Amino acid sequence: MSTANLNAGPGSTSQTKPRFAEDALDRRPVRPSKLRYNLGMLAVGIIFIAAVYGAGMDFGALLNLPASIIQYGQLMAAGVFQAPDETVAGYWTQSFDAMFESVAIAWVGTMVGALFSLPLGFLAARNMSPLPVYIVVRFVLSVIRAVPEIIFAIAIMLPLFGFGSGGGGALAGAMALGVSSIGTLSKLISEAIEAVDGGPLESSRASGSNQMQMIRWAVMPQVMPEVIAIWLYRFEVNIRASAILGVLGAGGIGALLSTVFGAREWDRIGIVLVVIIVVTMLVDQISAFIRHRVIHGGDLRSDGGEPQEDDDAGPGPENEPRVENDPAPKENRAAAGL
Amino acid sequence: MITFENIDVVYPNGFKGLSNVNLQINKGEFVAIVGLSGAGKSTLIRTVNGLVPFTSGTLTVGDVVVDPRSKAKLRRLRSRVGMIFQSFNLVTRVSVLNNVLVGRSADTPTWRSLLGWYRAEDKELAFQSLERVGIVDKAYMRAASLSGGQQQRVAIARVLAQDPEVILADEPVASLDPPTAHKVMRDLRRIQQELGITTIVNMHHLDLARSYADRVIGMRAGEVVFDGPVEEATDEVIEQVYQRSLTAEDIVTAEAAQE
Amino acid sequence: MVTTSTAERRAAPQAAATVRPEPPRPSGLVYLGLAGLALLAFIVFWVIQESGDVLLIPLGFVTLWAPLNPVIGLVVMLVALAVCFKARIGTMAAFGTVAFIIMSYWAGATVGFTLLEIPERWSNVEPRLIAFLDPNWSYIWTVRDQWLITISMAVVATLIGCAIGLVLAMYASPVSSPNKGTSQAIKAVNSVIRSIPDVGWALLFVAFIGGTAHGLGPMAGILALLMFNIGIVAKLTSETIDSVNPGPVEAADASGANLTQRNRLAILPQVLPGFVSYGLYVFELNIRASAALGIVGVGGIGSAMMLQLNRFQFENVAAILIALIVVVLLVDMFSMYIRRKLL
Ligand SMILES: Nc1ncnc2c1ncn2[C@@H]1O[C@H](COP(=O)(O)OP(=O)(O)O)[C@@H](O)[C@H]1O
Ligand SMILES: [Mg+2]
Repeated sequence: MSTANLNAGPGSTSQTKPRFAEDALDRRPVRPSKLRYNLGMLAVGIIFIAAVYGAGMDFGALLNLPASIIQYGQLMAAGVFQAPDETVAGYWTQSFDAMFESVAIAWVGTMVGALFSLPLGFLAARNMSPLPVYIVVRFVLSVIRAVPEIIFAIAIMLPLFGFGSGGGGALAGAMALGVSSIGTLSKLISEAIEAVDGGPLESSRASGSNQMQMIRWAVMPQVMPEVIAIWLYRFEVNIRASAILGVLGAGGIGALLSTVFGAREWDRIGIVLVVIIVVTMLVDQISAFIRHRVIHGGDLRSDGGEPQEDDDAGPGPENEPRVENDPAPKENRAAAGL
Repeated sequence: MITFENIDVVYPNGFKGLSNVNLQINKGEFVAIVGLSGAGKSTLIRTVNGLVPFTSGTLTVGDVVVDPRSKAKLRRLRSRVGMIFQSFNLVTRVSVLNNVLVGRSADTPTWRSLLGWYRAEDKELAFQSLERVGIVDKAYMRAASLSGGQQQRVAIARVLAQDPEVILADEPVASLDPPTAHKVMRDLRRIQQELGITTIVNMHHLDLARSYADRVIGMRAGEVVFDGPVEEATDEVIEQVYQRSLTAEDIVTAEAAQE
Repeated sequence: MVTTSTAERRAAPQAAATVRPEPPRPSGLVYLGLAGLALLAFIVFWVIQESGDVLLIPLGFVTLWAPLNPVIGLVVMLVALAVCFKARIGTMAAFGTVAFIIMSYWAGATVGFTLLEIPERWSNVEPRLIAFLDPNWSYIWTVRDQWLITISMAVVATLIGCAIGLVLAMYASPVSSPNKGTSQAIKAVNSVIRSIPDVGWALLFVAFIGGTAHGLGPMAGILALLMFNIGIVAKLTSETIDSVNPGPVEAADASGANLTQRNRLAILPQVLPGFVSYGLYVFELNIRASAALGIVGVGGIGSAMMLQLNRFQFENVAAILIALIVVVLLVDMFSMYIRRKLL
């Protein structure tokens, strides 16, 4: 072994692991109590068991579930894969028509929601509106979010708009989606506004611009991409939500769904489900693409040709130490749920 | 003993990370690898435990011939080769002790890991490792609440809990301030001497390499361009490796070493 | 289009330093193509139009009354294009604008958008609104059993759904899955699960189980909520896993941990706060969804609400609604509390 600068370390050269003196144990910290954690886990367990009883489920139903899934699954698959003669082709077009109507309902609903959500988003942002306004608007938004869209549809929109010229109640459905979108959209937009970088705000306030000018030139440019992404998320959600409105006669795929389920026509059920899955996934893909473009800018692909290597550092396996990631990308939530 | 025979690494994008590396690193040696950023230091160190698979040549660690394609064999190899990272790579949300116990994974049944019920002897080993790096009092604190130097010591303890034959350290002190950097290097050196663990450390600070290593390996563009004991790694030689004259950035401030 | 814009961009620095660099002029050819697209859409709308009614085209902030005549739509599109061209907006954004107008025109026409009938129909709604403002408070307590069922369903579906969703997420994210193929396959399965709406699942399970009577309803409801939850939790959690700090994962790999151990020790702690907040969020969704699922008869508060709606007992509906709002707000507050404790 070479004689490099060895002034570090105690210089012990023994090759075996030394046992520690007994008093080393005394320096070990006492294990903190896990009582609260364990109690929490216990509580969750008890709540779960109580809920299983409280729901009053019939577990016997689970026993023949696999058999009926296979049986009906085969019927549905047979329906989907049968040779499309005239009636079957009619089923397919009918399903696509209804699904496209659902997409239209979702689009109009999202637009109505979007129209109101922007001003309400500003009113519900703590850094944009005075405290009383903020509290009132936030409360109203919470109430809107708590009411299922089906209630808006049945209780207000259907009587207000009727079943429309087509007799399907599509407009009523769209308006119900629109009103109930306002709650989530405004909340997410207000959170985006609250996260706005304060620098430009400060400078525009310092340069003596009024509230409107500040919003137009300092806030809007920053939040607009995110707002558009939020609207698109909600469009995806609304496509799913429109299905439930249809079950009660407010247009779209839901009406067809409840008809075919009511008649237990499994081949048609299969076709309707396939159409729902295909169209929904397609719209999701397009919407995700646009969202990505809006948020990350279009320069990723449009420049094509020359791949821009920034420097020689490259994507090495190790980079700068990272801070812990944001655990809850909040506008994501709108994407998956409601 | 670690032997590289004609090792090449070609990255999936076609970039040649290492070309024709031949090295022999003896048991219990403390080796510093120096070179500019992008020279292939990390690549070299990561081939040893298979984090970067080599594409041709033969690599043996101890009596094991490394086979980058067999996941099971790699796991067994990795359980005997510990690794320390520039950014500590601790799970910051869990306790120091649990971080150290990650090092026991290879010898712990999966169900125990899943439930977090470690055997008493594993915990004992984790505590001993923490004692060796001197932060046993922090055992039940969240890793996030520790300073950079303390976090790196937890990372060293995690490696010690593996009871390793080889320690690989990829720029272990690059994100620490000079006095802390020296403390951590001193810890590594002491552990290498006490336990006779072969230690390979990447660094770009020359003076650290000179004051703690037995042997210096210089790399440039994926090739080993210098290999010799510290005494031979003079400024001229290193300037040859770097292909530029040395600057103040290549050394950690001298007075810090006296701390 | 690419060549002109890059050429302009390269020329820009050579211009005198005092001149503000302007954004490059968008390619006229592409704009012409977009105008052609607008024309094409106009022709299609012209062919499929139904005459007679009045149509409202919502255009973001502006609303524009137009007879159901696609000519107006064409004019709107061309004007929008002209404005975009004047403002030197990129071709992609201009395309987006045209596509947006076409989509809105189509959607508006499909749903028969009109606000003209509101005044004459207002009399239908007025009594309902009045009834809603005067809820039957005594009714709130009569439906407590249904509330119990709803909340129980939500709890069971949330807990099981989160557990399954977590496992699926681990296999769905390329960071934590055994290989790329698995992650792709699970992602595909998950997007199928997610694309079927909750009421679709409810109808399916009601049919599978054979009805909604005698405890079958809650079972079907729970299974439907379960699928709904799995979809959401798996998607959100796998996205969180995607953006996890790779350092600890690499460290676990380097110490010889197997895949399960590495996911448990290095990934799970990192995603746990997000996962818990997704769980709480899904719980809130479940309470609202089970109110809606009542229409297909899976039991719980939704069924009670449907019953009252069908009987036109709006004061009772209002009472249930108020309870629902309170419950959702409470759950919201509870989850905010838990989140703050955890993060
Ligand atoms: N995963 C990878 N794919 C492609 N090239 C890589 C990858 N990792 C590293 N490289 C390249 O290999 C070269 C050596 O990298 P590295 O070993 O990290 O250098 P050092 O650690 O000496 O700074 C660099 O040019 C880097 O861009
Ligand atoms: Mg490196």
